[in-house]
Amino acid sequence: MVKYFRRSIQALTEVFNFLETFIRKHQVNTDVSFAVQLAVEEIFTNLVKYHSNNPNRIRIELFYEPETVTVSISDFDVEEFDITEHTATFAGLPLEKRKPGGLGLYLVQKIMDQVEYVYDPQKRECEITLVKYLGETDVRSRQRRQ
Amino acid sequence: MFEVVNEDNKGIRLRGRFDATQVNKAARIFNALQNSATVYFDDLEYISSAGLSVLLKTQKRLKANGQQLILKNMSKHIREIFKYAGFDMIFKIE
Repeated sequence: MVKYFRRSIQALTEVFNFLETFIRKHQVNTDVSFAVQLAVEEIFTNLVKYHSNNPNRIRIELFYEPETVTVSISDFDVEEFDITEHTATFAGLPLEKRKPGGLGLYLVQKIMDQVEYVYDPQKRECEITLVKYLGETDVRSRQRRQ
Repeated sequence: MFEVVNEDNKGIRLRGRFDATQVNKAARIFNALQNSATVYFDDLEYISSAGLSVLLKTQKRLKANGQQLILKNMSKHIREIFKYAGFDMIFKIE
């Protein structure tokens, strides 16, 4: 499944509807669906915030495979910003040293099993790939093992 | 859908999905808090870093005056996010 979304925080509602359709279609378990929704929101809002004047839509593609759910998020005509290199460590910091910025990308790294960033400098395009392994509670994985 | 209700003496109740589109709605309630308050998560299905940031800012402001938020009845998934973020060390979670 693939869809393009306008670059706006308000477009998150459409993004969640798109994810919900995918989750229902493939009967993805709640552990995985929660993680995927959170990771997609964090990446999407990051792209909206840091490329706010970019007129291009953001592309999201979802793949259901035997052992994984994979999300590919692409953005066009953007500067390179490797999200995997910009995640501060938050756990353990005292309250007075906590700042909101960066928490979202940090959580993406914690909740997803794989996070990859690829940038094409010729096309000025980035693709962020998020992978989550389906657990034992996933309906189809369980059926496949029976 | 997201709702945040300040139930006078009973605390603040969160319902639905607390994502980045709901920050302003939540901030209006949390920014008005001056004293310690209990936040009930019973009916909250989802929270992202945008929601966590509203709670973090409120906790910082209240703690500076010796007050705090107390968080109650989180789902397994939301509790996990709080733990990953290290928020279990800065909030009282019951």
